[in-house]
Amino acid sequence: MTMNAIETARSRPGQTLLPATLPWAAVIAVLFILPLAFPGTAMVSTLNYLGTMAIFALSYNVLLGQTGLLSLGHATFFGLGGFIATHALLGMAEAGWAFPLPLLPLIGGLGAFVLGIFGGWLASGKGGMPFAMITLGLSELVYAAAAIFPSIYGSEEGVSMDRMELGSSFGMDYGSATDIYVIVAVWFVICAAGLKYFTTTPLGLLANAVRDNAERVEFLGFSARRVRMWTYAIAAGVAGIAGSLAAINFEIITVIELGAATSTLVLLMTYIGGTRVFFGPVLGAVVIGLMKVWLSDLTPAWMLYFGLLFIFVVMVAPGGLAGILVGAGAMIRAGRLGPQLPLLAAIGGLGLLSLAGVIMLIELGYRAGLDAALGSQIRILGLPMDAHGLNSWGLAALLALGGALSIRPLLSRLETLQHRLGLKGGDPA
Amino acid sequence: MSANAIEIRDLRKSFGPVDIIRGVNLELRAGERHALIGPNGAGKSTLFHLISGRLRPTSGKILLHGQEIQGKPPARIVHAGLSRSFQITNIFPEMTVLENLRCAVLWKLGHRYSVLRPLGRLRDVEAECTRLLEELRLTHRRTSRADSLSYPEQRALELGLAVASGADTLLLDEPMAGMSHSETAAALELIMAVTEGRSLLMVEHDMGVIFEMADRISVLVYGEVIATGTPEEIRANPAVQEAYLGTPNAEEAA
Amino acid sequence: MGLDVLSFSILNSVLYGMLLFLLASGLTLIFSMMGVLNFAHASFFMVGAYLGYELSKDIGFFPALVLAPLIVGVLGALVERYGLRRVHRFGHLGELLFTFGLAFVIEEAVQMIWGRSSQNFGVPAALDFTAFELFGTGYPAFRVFMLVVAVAVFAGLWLLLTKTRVGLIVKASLTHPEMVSMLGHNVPMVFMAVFGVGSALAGIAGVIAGPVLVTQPSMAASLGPILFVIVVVGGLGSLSGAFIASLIIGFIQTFAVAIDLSVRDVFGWLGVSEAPTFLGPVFTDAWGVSVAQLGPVIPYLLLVVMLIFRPAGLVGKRG
Ligand SMILES: Nc1ncnc2c1ncn2[C@@H]1O[C@H](COP(=O)(O)OP(=O)(O)O)[C@@H](O)[C@H]1O
Ligand SMILES: [Mg+2]
Repeated sequence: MTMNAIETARSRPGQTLLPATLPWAAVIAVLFILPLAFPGTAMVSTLNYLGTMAIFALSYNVLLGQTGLLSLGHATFFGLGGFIATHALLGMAEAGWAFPLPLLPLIGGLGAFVLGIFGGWLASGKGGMPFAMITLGLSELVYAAAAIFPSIYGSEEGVSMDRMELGSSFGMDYGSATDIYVIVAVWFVICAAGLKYFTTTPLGLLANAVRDNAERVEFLGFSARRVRMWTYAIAAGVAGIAGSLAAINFEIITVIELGAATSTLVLLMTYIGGTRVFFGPVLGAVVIGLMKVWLSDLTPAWMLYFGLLFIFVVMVAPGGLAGILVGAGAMIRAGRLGPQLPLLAAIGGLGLLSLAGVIMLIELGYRAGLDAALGSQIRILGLPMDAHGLNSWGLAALLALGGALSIRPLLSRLETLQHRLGLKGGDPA
Repeated sequence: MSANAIEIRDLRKSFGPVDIIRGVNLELRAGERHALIGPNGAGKSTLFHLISGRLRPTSGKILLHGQEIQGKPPARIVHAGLSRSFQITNIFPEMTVLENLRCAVLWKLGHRYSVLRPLGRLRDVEAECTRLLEELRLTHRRTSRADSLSYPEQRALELGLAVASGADTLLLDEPMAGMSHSETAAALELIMAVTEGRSLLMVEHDMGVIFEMADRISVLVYGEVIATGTPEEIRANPAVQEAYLGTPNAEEAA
Repeated sequence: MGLDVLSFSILNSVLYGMLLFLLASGLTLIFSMMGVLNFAHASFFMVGAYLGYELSKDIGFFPALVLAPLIVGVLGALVERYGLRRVHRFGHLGELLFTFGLAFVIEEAVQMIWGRSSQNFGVPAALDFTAFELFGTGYPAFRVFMLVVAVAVFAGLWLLLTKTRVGLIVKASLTHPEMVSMLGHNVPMVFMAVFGVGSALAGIAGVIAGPVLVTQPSMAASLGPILFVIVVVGGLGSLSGAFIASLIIGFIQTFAVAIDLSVRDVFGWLGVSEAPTFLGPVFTDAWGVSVAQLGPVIPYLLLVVMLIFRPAGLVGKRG
């Protein structure tokens, strides 16, 4: 439903109401306000993590959204960037060089970029499934090699460093999380601006062309393989910057950072955030990152919620969260949201009920299974429930199923309404 | 330098045991407009795929300006000066019309895979795209997504991608297929304009169009060129009438 | 390596290869019909193992061997009907991502129900004896049983493919993939059935492998990539290719563990006994690399090399 609105919005790039610099001013303003609004080392550390993941997700979207390539091993470059930066720091500290810490990601990024050229050359012969498989193979190779070379990857516990060893620069000694926040924020602006700029260049446009129709690109004189290779290298380089920042933030880097779990995480973040809107991946990184940080304290089921959210987005809103927002924005501007509001509110309400039911089911399930040792009594969404009680399970199932079933007729009415409003064209099939 | 834009010598292509192109010989003279006709399934599109590098020939030679191009990848053949359009519309559906055309002019203007300047600042690209949009009569659609265009507009864009690359030799595969009578007339005018001064080989079914635009015609039947000549010669050729037009007087119907 | 180790390694390689093929054949069938590489395939394998474990506690191993795959098959069919079919309109990327998310959710759900540690899924008592002795060492009857089950399943599958109508359509789609598009949306039942049967095959593999491999939540994630290696190396959509590749991987992984050899040994034969220290610690690492360590790497190396030099795979027609 909202897809069409996005497309309408996308098809009129010339009619943006705001000058191009305004969003960037907003970004910078937000980056200034954030540490003031959320002070304290723990909060700022979380912000640092989110910023790092935001850069990482933006880099992934160069592949997924811009070039239409599904990489299953992007964490390879995040992790390798982190290892390169860490070893560079250790080496320079030992040699007594006064290299400013904020520039360390440059080394990790460059290293990852060079490795990315090589990896891209290997992986880029074809797009689609072969690309996904080669990236999977390469990342598993690098991961497995970690066990063979403990002197590079450290053993189980990874390689740690002391970021203050390089000494002070730019008036900071890098002991506090806030100092790191400054580094992450500046790198975020640099990377985001750089990647945004990249979308406006000839190569950036060719990446879109390869995504849309790789064969036709060849008949315009270009090699789709070269386009894939360079976008792969660029994505790798920026991922390397993100990995370096992660290493600086946590002062440790482990093989987990270049493993399949991290590759999966960035895919989820990027796709849930939205691949067709430039800042979509940032939104995804923030939402998923926060879920990871906060939800993991609240419930053992947080990973399951992730997976379900991901499937929900894949099935219902392939434009991601950003797609929904942009679609809604376009509808508001076109003055077509009003007539839909009552229906949307009803759907939203029922959706929330259904969601509550699903959450109850999952929490009860964990209490009955994995966490049975904690006892069967549990408070879910403020309600006292019993993992062995039929009433609790019944209520949960009723909410989940009842909500979902009663939404269905409303959805088809919404569709009819959107048809009437001219928001939905003929069936794309 | 040869006087022929394209020379095809004893070209063959088989898919497994099936011979589709069975010893084609064909010359496209520099600057001429040459129509390729033949019944459905004769192998016209396959021949275009062979020339443009989409398929590798089984044997035989293809010369572009005297230089062998058979079996080379499509991009190389474009660099050597040949570009093509497709029978089944083959554009970039999720990009705007302007973006489609930008991609098509980047190579000839020398920007290639550049990241040095944003497209908006590349004056030559903008000028060339503006000119093309004007020529293709798509100016009012420049920021529309390609998949939102009407069928004739998509065909115009398909043609635009082929001519934009600046090649001096063009292969157009049924550029007017599926158009109404009035749309065909407009499209023909457009094709005549954009191919001015280039060598053109074009597959077309509409006899009216062919006799109006073609300097010469070749007839492909079952993977072989059975006749080449001026429209008058082809019209008078009994073998063509027999094999292709079916009855001696079929052309009157066309 | 002694003759006894060699012969047992060969037996185990074949066994492991057959097990892999049980999984790879379902994956291949699904891919040929729908053009989707199902990321959740190994997850169905895992669900099969867990269900087999759970059911065999109540109804015994052999009834569980029948019932668990049936449940997994129904589960697969439901996933196709209410999930995959819906995302079909978003193209292959949507389908791929859907199965990817599904694998993620199944792993979490399994942990929710059964916990993170491994389950005590043992060999059933009826099969807990030594089948035969070779060079004085016994070979467990359960492994022989696994081999028999695998072969029986393939015989059944072959009959299904060659003797039934639906089977013929499926078989035709293996050799003439473009036919699938002609079948188009008119055969949703066939799609659902193929997905169900493919999943059920994975379920069978799960039940018979559960007692031998460890039944734990990570078993899907560790086996999944290997399956992709097999279907890609064999040639996407080719059953015979998948068979060959399954055996190759079976042999590589079994023998890698059995061969006791390291880089140091090789150089030792050449008369170099110590790593030249001036080359740095990385070379010291490389010096100690053993075949057992390289074992897990080889399949991926094979995958990458294959995709680069022969993208169509061993027996593949489609690139
Ligand atoms: N890739 C292919 N494999 C097998 N047969 C093909 C292939 N491509 C085309 N053909 C066959 O070649 C013949 C010529 O096709 P085509 O060149 O499209 O004809 P035309 O353009 O003259 O109508 C047809 O019979 C078609 O079925
Ligand atoms: Mg044709």
